[in-house]
Amino acid sequence: MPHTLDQLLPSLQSLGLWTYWILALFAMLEAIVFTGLLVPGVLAVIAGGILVQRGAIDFFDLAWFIAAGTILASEISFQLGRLASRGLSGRRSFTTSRHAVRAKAMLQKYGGFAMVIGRFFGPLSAFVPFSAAMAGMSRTRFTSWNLVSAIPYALILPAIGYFFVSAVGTLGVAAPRILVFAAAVLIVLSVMWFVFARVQRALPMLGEILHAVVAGLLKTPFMQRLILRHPEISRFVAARFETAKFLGLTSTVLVVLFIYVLGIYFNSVFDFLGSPDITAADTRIANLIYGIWDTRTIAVAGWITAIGGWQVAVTALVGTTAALLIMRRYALVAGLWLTTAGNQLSVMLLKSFFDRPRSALGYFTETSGSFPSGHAAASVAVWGMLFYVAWRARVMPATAAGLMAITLAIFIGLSRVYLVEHYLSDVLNGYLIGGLWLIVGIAFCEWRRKSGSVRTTPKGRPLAIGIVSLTIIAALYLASTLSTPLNKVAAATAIDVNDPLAIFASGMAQTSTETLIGDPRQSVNLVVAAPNSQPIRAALVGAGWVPAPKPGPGVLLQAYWADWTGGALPQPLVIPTFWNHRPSDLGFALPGSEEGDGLRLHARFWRTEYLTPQG
Amino acid sequence: MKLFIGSLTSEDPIEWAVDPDGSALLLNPTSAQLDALLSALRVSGLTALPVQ
Repeated sequence: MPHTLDQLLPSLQSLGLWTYWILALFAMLEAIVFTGLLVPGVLAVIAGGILVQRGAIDFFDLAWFIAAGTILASEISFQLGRLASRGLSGRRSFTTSRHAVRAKAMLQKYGGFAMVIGRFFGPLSAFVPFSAAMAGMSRTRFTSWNLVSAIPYALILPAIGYFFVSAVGTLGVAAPRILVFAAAVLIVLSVMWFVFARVQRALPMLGEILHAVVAGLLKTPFMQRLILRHPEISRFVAARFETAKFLGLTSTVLVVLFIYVLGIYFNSVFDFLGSPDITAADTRIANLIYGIWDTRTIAVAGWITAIGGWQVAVTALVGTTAALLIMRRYALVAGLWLTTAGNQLSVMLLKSFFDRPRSALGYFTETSGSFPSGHAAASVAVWGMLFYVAWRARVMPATAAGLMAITLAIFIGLSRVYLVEHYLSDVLNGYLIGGLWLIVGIAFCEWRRKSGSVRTTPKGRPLAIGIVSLTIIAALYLASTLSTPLNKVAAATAIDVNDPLAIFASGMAQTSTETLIGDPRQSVNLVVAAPNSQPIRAALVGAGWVPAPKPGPGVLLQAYWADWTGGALPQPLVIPTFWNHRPSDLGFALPGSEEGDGLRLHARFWRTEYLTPQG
Repeated sequence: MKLFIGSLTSEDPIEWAVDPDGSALLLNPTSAQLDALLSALRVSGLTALPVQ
């Protein structure tokens, strides 16, 4: 039976009964006008079918939950449509969304049956009931079609997921393994494009719907009484949603976002300070990555990490500043440097305050504190601002700018973790710091833009683009040629012991191993004295054991593939466990020891810092 | 001589690779299996001891 989908949807499968509720929530959110543009409910319901195929949940129970979620959501969309129709001042439809236009056309062509069709086309499932209410469909007729249309939706979509996985599982054995990796990359990029494209398309429509719904709500007797009773508060709240001024909806969204990110930031700091599990997991991840380094990946990571370094960032900043000055976009220049300076100052102060030592295993020599990561912060704040500026200066569209900003930040952060220049928690915390300053910079630029002080000029645009192009070439050249001093990893201090077993009896060495996240695994059950690892390897090979290679990403992908297709592994695979936060140094498998339940004998060994008298 | 510590287990190799939460099935070795491993190491002249 294939298992890979456990990892594709791990949280869903592990949630048990909650899986039904969460999938119902997805189906529900997609059928509500505000969230329907953003939530891929169809995909989630299909994923539910995949879980059914895996035996994790029951098909008909899932269908009940999906149906209930989508019926309830359609009812909400219908009510919102009624509310919005009061606030449209005579208009009977929205014009800024192709979904709304298509929904209206479907209703005119198919009547109530449009509910059945619309459910299978993402956001249309929300706009059909919404448009039906605006077109004046009766309550009874809507309820009938709402109930009827939920049945095929709740049965057919999970069935698609169910049969899709069965087909892939059958065909998968013949497909080249490289396709797995390519498909994974493609899926990640597709999801990012999907979200960005939807958000970009949805914003005008969401604004229009929100405006109509709020207008309709304000006309209700209850709200009228409330406004008369509290005129000051009403004016203040209304001003927070004003779209023409910066101190309206724009500032409200930015302030809420800032407070949200700030909350996450403090939470991450408290987790770091208060939870030894976080720092222990950081160490295990760093040790594991150090154990599976390879020279080609290091070269790529070194190049990526240079893009987040100050030399490349300053080059890009100077070039962009020159271009913006030529185009007289002074507010963007100010916002760019405000973010850069604020971010840099914050990172310096926080590094000094927390004073977390770097891992001794880092590839390059670094002297500043480890927490938070300055590269990660700059990847979000500086590069995020540069892409924002590129969008506002009309050099690239919003979707491309957003996608490139996120991609670059992810890769720079990953490169820091891969090179063990930073722990994972350093990078995540750095992202949050950078995110806060990015919001500040964007807020500044939007404030100046909406205050009407921006004077754009097409003059000098070709020159500005030429300067930016030269800057990009210079930055890429710098990234490929920078050579930071390499870090020499010091050997652990040796400890002499007389009796090998005494290290366990005295508590000097722990007798259990653990997983990456710290769960206890198998016990230590032997100790060997050897001049180095070679005699151990020779002894085991002589006894029929097979050395397992270091489990890099390629090997893990092969394991996923074998798990999915039910095929055999091409080589012995022994996944490291951790002893004293370090992954096993040697792994061996014993062919022929497999039993009926698929279990096989594995031996793992760890070097220690202990020396016997003969050493 | 340097000390290496070791662990011998009976486990499903694929489950271990793809199971991130560490719930994969794993059994302690039988004494005969552990003795066989210790013997293989000792035959090569290494000092190998069981840890209780």
